[in-house]
Amino acid sequence: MKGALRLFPLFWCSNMKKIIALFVVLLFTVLMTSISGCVVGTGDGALENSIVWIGTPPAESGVIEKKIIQQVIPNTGTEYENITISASQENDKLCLHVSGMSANTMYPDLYDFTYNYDNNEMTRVSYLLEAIPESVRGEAIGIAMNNEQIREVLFTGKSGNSIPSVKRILPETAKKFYEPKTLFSVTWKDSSLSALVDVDTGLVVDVWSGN
Amino acid sequence: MNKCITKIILGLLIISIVAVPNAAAEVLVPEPTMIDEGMTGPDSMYLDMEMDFARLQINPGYSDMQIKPGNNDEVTVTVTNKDNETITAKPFVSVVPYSDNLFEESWVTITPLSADIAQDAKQEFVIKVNIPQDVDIGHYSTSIAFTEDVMPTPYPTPYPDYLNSMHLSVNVWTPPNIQIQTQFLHGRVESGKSYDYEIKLENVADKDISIDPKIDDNNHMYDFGPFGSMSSAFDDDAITITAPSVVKAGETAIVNVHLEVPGDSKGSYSGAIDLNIDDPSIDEWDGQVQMNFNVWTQPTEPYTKTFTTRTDGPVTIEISSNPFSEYTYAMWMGADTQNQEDPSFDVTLENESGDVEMMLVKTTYTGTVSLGMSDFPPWEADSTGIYQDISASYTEQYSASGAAGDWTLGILPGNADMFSYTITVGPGEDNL
Repeated sequence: MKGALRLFPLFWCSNMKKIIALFVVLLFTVLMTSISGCVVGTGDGALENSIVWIGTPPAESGVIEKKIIQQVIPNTGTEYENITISASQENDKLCLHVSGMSANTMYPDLYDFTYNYDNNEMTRVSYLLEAIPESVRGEAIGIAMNNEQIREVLFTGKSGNSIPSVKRILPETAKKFYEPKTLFSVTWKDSSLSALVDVDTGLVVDVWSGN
Repeated sequence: MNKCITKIILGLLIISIVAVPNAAAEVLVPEPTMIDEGMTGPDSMYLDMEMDFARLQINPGYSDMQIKPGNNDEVTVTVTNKDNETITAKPFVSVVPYSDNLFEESWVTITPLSADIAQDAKQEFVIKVNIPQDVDIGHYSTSIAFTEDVMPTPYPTPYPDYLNSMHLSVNVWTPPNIQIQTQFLHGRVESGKSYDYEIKLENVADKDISIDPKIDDNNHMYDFGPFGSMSSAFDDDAITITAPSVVKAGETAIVNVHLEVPGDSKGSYSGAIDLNIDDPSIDEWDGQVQMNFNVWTQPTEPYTKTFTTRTDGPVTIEISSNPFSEYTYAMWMGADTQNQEDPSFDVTLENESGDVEMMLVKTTYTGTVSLGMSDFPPWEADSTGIYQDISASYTEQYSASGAAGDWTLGILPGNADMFSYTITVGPGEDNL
């Protein structure tokens, strides 16, 4: 306590003032530490170390890596342990195939981008996101199977005994069918059956039956 | 300085108040479907009746709200007069009798209370729904009628069908006090074996909540499909559930599910465990955990096939697992493990002189890959262009020295519930 007060003589007034002053300083320190930690964490620093280029990295690979990190976001509660990128030149554009792998998921997240050297623009072309923790996969499947339309097809049909695929649907796509938020597509390919699931509310917001 | 800021804010407010209705008025609305004067057939009987009704276009015709008890929400409805005279719209709540729960008229306030709408003019009504704190969660719906005009019917009806009305659906909900962390039990199970599963329930409320997990009574309502009865692989009593009767506030409880797969069971089992969570935040469907098990019986005796050869050429045997989907393949892994097991075959070949030595000459993995161009749900269209495994199969090819005579081929599959074989006698392509 005395040491701390010596550091901040301006607050040497009364005991109460000292406590308040110390509290403010501590709070400020904690905030600054956490903010700087966040920057380093998103930081791209941590991810840059785990980015692997398949083949020779293209020109401006550092810039491209930073743009990719900004655009690939793992499922909530999941981190990409490593990101692999392969590049191929197509006319005046650079095609980038990105795979994000997580430790606690069975499948990767896949993204296709194009990079335009003229204006340094990165455009996402496609995505297939299956890096989903088993608990979330199970929850999405459970919600889908609670849907009467899904149950009727699965339980009265002759197929549908396979485990469905679960894919993360980004808000940009989801807004065309429901709301701009992350949804999950639970699909029984052998039954041409799919449920669009909102895990937050536990609702099936749309059903596709191949028609 | 402060006065200046206040003036700017006031100015912006006035601009926004003026701009919002104008922007809303620009929304394109579909033309209403009018009864065609040339209509014939059964519906024409209604036209023979005296019909004099106000022609109003109501947009939206349907609105869906999610409201927590004690909260409110509102929707703005634009009513356009498509009639050839001024119409007085005086909106009121017309409770529909076929809703899950009965909507209360007192929950709705509409402003303005009424409006005279000139020909081709638009009028906005704000419908505000206040859900009282003590309302049960669930789905409620009602109609909001803007005029008293009703659909004429040749017979009396208990409830009028208002012509100039919109439908309002309200889902009264609360965040669940119990979070079910395991909502789906699934996997391929082997007959004669037992399995244990856990359902984790986290009570996020500040009060204890009682539970009484049981197999759902309606488990087999879907066993009767279009082709008759479909028997389940095993009965509900193969599943034993043990659980505490209460999930304490702020704690996590485990519901243990023990499955004893009967030795003679075959096929699949689908059902649900009703957790019977005694809390209004959980409705019937939310309180269930779905189960889907496929019973697998690993054969102990090989499949045998006898055949006769008339030449002394080499015998080539090719065995393939069935093409399986990527996710059927995942079922071999058991629930939630990453230890994949490949299909395998123990193959034997005998002739009149005994066992014949076979040589594994080739293994082949075959797959089908899609680029997502067709037969995918529309919300997966953004995966187009990325390779997706659709199916895969595994093939083993064996070769043995041949001699004319009778042969017996034995195949014991592992991790494959279907396989095909080809027996080639004589020099195959690989032997030429």
